[in-house]
Amino acid sequence: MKTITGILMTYALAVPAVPAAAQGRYEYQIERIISSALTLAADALDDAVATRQRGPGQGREARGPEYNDKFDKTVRLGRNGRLELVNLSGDVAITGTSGEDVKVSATKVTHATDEAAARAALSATTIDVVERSGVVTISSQPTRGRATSVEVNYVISVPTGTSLILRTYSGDVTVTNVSADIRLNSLSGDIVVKDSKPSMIEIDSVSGDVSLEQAESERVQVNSVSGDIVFKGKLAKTGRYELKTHSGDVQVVTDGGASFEVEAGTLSGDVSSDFALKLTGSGTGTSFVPRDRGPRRSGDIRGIANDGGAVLSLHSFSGDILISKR
Amino acid sequence: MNCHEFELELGDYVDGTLAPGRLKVIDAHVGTCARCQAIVTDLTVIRRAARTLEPQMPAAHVWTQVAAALERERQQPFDGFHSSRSKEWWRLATGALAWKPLLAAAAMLLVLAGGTWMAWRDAAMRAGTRQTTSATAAAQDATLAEVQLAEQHYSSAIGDLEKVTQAEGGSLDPETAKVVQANLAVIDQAIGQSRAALKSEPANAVAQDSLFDALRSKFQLLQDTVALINEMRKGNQEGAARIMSGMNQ
Repeated sequence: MKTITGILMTYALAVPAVPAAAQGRYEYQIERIISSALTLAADALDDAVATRQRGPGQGREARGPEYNDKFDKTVRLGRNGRLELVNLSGDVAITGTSGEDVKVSATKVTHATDEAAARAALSATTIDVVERSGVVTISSQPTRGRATSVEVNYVISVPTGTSLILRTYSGDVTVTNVSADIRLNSLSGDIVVKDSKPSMIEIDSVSGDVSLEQAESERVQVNSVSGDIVFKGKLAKTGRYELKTHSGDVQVVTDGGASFEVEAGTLSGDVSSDFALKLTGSGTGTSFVPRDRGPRRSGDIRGIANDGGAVLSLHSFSGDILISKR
Repeated sequence: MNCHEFELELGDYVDGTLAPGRLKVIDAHVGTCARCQAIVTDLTVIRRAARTLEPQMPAAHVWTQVAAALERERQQPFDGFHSSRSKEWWRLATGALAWKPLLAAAAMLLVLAGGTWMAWRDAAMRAGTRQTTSATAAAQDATLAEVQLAEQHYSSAIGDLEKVTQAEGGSLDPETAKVVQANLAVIDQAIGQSRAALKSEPANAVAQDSLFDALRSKFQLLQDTVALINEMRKGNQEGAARIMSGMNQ
């Protein structure tokens, strides 16, 4: 329903957004924007209807049986190198291990009505794993002109001190037991970072949910458009945690004795906290009563839990914000 | 608290948006800390300079030239990827040199958008102040006009990128195209909701942030999509592999 709502909102709001005085100058661009939005909306609607008709997870299968092709490669990286990966379609699972090697196990998957077509599509998609100057680069790319619909699912083990730069379009990403920087940019698909102590986490996602589970880091920045964001773990005393989503919810689950300063804002959602907060902003009152002893409240709050320390910046346009004890 | 902890709030301090209690704390610290004083001075100068910038639109021919440059580049052999220490994912996906013309144009647009954003914030802040004092309808109208103008500049930049994606979108495989389209729709929804909120409350900071976050997301997605289209369009096995792997051939 979000998509259909988006169609209506886009159309309804795009048209009156054109000021009369600007029509001459921007007329063409505005028309194109509206046209583009309507095209996208129509496509999205078609997709939604098709998905509903065939049921979830049946898109590729509808084109025939599955064919796959395995790929394995191991390269030496060292203990503190960097892994860069781009994947258009397919899941990515990365696990930090002891050792100095990057082990890549990938499966190319496609669906086709006949085996020859499937094999052609699979062979037209190459997987490159290249090590150079402490950086391992992994990418999969169609090599014969127009791309075919082949997804590549990766299972990768890396030295635990490897920093990660990941870019995915469609597919889930899971990162486990990594202790260096993590930068991740994703369109669709859920993202999970767990049991890790990275020095820094930066995640940008459009429509997937983001979950940081037992991820201890001093610098966490997560942005999403429609996904939920969940952080479960310890807050470093000098840490900064910026979690922002447009229409998703934001949840922080941390130790009951945690000390932090929080700035939380939502336009149409609710802000609630298990922690008693001493308010420091210009809002009403001087304390924020834990949710089990008082009503939720909307709008912005700035407050301090216990002695302060970690900084939480939590924002959602229309979702709820919840700070809870684990 | 040390300077590092204050740094995060110095922007708000310069903008004058800190809560009174916090303002007093930061004020006291800045008064005794030369380092933070220097940062405040820098931010003040930058802010003042940004306010003097005139909004400028890239001429239509810029995109024609970009398209021509892309076509020339497409017909030339790949000439290498010189940075083995690329930090941004799109370099990995596209190759920095191959996209020099587009990146230059995109950088120009980002500067434009950044200046527009600062001007918008400034206008909205002034409106907020006015609201607390007089709350006149005229002030709100003026702010709304400035917001709309700023948004038009951003939307125009997005529209230009959309032209490229629409013209060349057939180079993407259908699955990837659907993913891009679906996510653009999600972003458009966010833009629409933010616009609606700003219409009723032009000085609302959450709505402003949301709108510009969404516009930035759309701009980035379109920019990335254009880069990907170019990659797909080439259909050059060796070149594609080199670009994707960031190799310096």
